Order: sequence, then structure tokens, then C-alpha cells
Amino acid sequence: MALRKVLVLTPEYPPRMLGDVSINVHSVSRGMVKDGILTSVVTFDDWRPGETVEEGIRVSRIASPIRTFYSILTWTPLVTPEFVRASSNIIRGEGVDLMLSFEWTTGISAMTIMTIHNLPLVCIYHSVESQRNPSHDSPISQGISYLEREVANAADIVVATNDDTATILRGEYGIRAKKIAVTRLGKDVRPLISICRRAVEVHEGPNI
Amino acid sequence: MRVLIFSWEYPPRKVGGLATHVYELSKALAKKVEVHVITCNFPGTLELESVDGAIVHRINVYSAPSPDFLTWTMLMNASLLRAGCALTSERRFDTIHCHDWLVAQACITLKHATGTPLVATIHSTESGRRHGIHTNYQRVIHEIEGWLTYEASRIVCCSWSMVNEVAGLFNVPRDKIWMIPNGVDPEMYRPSAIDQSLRDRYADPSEKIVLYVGRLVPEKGVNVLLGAAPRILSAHPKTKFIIVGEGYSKEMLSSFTKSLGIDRKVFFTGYVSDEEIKGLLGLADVQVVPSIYEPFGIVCLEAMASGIPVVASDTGGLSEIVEDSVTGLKVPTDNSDAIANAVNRLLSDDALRGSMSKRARERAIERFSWKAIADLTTRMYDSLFPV
Repeated sequence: MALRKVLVLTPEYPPRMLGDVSINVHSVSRGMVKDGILTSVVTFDDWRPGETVEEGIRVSRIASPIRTFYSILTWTPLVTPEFVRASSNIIRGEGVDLMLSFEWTTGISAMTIMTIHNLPLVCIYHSVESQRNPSHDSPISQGISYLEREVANAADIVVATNDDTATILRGEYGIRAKKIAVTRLGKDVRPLISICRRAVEVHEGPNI
Repeated sequence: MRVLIFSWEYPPRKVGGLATHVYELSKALAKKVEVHVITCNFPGTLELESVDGAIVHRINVYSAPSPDFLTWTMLMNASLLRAGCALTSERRFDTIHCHDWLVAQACITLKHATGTPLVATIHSTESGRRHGIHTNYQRVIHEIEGWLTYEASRIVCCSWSMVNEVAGLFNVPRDKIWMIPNGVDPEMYRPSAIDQSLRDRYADPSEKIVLYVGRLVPEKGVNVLLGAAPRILSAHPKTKFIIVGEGYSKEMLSSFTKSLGIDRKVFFTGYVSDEEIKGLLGLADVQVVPSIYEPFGIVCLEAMASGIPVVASDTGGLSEIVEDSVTGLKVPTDNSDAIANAVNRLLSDDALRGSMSKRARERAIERFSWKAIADLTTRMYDSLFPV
């Protein structure tokens, strides 16, 4: 199957910027559109829910249905149904060939969609919990690591944006080296697009 | 029709009345439609089994580390959701049926992923359980309940009092809510001969037995019953109070019993099996259901089906189950004196106990059989697909 339509799930997208993820997702999405790939982004943004087309990219911004924040580990599953709702509408409406999921916070959504809609999944990690939180022995940290590992296991290909993250994915998370690709994200998205094409080729069905 | 039920508890994993409800309802439904239940695993149980036709999928939900119950619940949902995804990718379901907020996230996600209509049974509300919303923790649960009522195409409440509560709290249109009561199996709960060896474990031969069955948490009002005990003992010194159940108030209730000087007359059994509860119902002279908040009150119905006269708080679903002075005695909530008067009246009047016992069982069979409840539930499912 050719790679013509991509669905991107991300916790942040401009103008909402918490770190590098937002900038990189924006670059990746623009690069894909430039390469002729129809690109839809579903992202979280409590202040701007709705759908727009920006620079040729269809952007769906969702809000959390639960307004009270308790912890990141409860927030993530609670925002999942909205990610899945917006994504499923896109898949049913125009079809999608591959899903790109950024960071663990979109992982439960990505695993759900890949199973129900039988889509190839590439998940991208800028970092993992043990890099962000070196003494990651709290239950919250362990819970995050657990979800990171689950998503990486389910994905067809796991992209690490640096060698350290790739090493942890292999060593601590037990992800097969063959499944991990290391590529830096920037203006040149050709390496990532070629990884995505490979994911479409190797995808055999739901991985969970 | 094919129905996918989500519930965090299912026998033998029992926390409250929810497990029994889902167990009985799924069995009764399986006689009419194809039913799958996704639930949490439990040591010693099968991952997949057919329970009288209902296919039960028990999922490992204990792999993820969690700092507290709310976080654990969310990660449990992630595990149940994965199982639901795997199952729905194999076969199409006509309805997803969610039981309470604890599995709302998995059910709502699956609804959006598959386009399957969602039905939710709200067994109780956080606001009702806590007498309002006081903390962020409670607010999150309250918001999840509201979100579930918004996302569900049909909402089931087990009493009119719950219909009013849910409609009022979450601004739910009345025509979206179906009142379908809880049920009881009249074959399982029936008047039985006294098990003498069981009786000997709890009471002297000459003692009358006042029974409480339920969780030991503030909303159940066990302290109100214990507060009534001195007055009951003064009128009927040969009385034993058997308190069945577990809960975080247990230590406080035990201390309260000691402070009243009645600890030799009160027996806290802790958790006991269903079989033993049935045996204890056979021993009891009176069952007291002193709840402060009670959406339905299945233990009251089980006592009625067993032919045990009940003294129940005039609140929530209990008000609708018990007909005062006919199938039991109703008392105002949080009123130890009223409980003492009602229990004393029943313990003093064998004829009254006999007539109430008979009428209570008749009422339980007539109005609360699981077959009737399954019939109503399938009608509610059918209403999702107007011809």
C-alpha cells in the first residue's frame, strides 16, 4: 500500500508549545504535505478546540472532557476518548494509511485506533521517562514507563530521536533492535517518510 | 443482538453490589442475546469462561504501578480497553453497556472507535456517596460520571430516586433514562432451615439475631445501627448483632462498639462467602439496612426474598423496595431511636414477623426477578434501533 494519507497524534502543536515536540511535529507535518502526503493532525489544546486547515494540514484540536486536573497519569487516559473520536472521524471520512504517534501521552489512543482500524503505527519518542526523571522510582514514573513500553511494543516501528533513547528502548524496555529507528527530526523529513513507508510495508495486522 | 458489558467487578471479585448485579443480569440476558463481559482478573479464576451462556473475559489489570486508586482505575481502563479493542476487531457488537464511572473511559473510547451505541448504568453517584463534592479527587469522579451520562445514548438507574438524582446532578433529559431495578434470584435466596452449627458460631441458643450485611463505610449507617443497640439490648437483652462485611470504617465501628460497652454483643464477621451470607439470613430474626445513602439496596431485597423481616432507612431505593408495615418497617435515616423502636417492635411480635416475612418474599418474586429485568433491559437495547 502506498503512503498517501497520514494521521498524526500529538500532545502539542503550535501555537501550543511546551517543548521541542510541538516544533518537530509542525516540521514533520509541513514536510509531509510538501511531499504530497495528505496530513491530518489531532492534538490537545484546551483553549482552541475545533478543526482548521493550516498550511495545507488538517488540524483537529481536542479539549479534555474532564476539567479538573488530578495527575498526568489520570489526565492521559481521560483525554484518550477525545483523541479517538477525532481520529476515527478522519479515518471514516477520508481514510488513513498510517498513524504517527508522538510521545507516550497519545499512546493509548494510538493502540486503540491501530487495533480497531487495522492501521500501521509508528511511534516517536523524543525521550523516555528515565531520561526526564533519572530517579524514576515513583509509582507515577513507573506507570509512565509502563505505558511507554506498551506503546512501543504495539507499534510497527519505534522512532527514537537520539541514540540514548534508542539504547533505553532496547535495554530497559526490551524492544527489538530491528524495530527501532533513530532519526533526528527537523526540516528534512525524508528519512522519517522512508521509515513510515517501511512501516506500511511491514504491517501485518493489529499488534496487541 | 450482541452486547459487550464492562464492569470492574464480577464474581468472585466482589467489592459491592455491582458484581452480583452484573453476574445475574448477564446470565439472564444470555438467554435472549449474545453477551460478553469484560472485567478484571482475580486469583484462581479463568481468563475466559462461559457462565450460563455469558462469555466472561477476565483481564490482567495489575501490571501497571499506580500511586493511588484513581490512577489505578485509569490504567485498569487502558487494560480493559485493549481487551475490548481485540474483541471488537473480531466481531461487531450492537451495544456497549458500561457499569459505573470506573469503566467509563474504556467504554467511551470504544464507542468512538467503533461507532457502537453506548448504554450506561449509574449504580450510584460520587456526590451521593460523599454527601457532596469536597475534593479534587471527588470532583474528577463526579465529572467522569457526568461525562458518561453525556456520552451514553441510554442511562439506566435502578430506582426512581436515582433517576431524580442523576437527572438533577448532570442535567440529563428524562427520556434518556430508563428505570430498571436490581433483581434477586428467588431460588438462591429463599427461606431456609436454620444451620445449627453456623448459629452456634455466632450466638447462644436463646439469643435473637439482628443482622447487617454490607460494606462498612459511612454511607451505610452502621454506626446508626450500633447506636440503637443499647436500647434494643435493654428491651431484649438476649440479642446478638452480627455485622457482615468489610470496609475502611471497620476499626472506627469496632471502637464505637467498645465505647458503648456492647462489644460482647456485636460480632464483626469480616468478609464472608455468599454461601455463608445465605446461611446467616436463615438465622436472622431481623435484618437492618440503616443506610444514609442507598441508590437501591440489594441486600434488603435478598433479605426479603429469604423471608427475613427488614428494618430499612426510608431513603433512596429502599423507600421504593419496602412497603412500610407490609413488607418491612421503614425508619427515618440517621435515627438510632427509630431503628431501636422498629427492631424492638419486630422482636416482640412473632405474628408481625411472620406476616412480613411472607409478604416480603411474595413482593420480591413478583417485582424483582432477573428474567423480568433482562426483558426490560433488552427492550431498552432495542430502543436504540427504532424500526
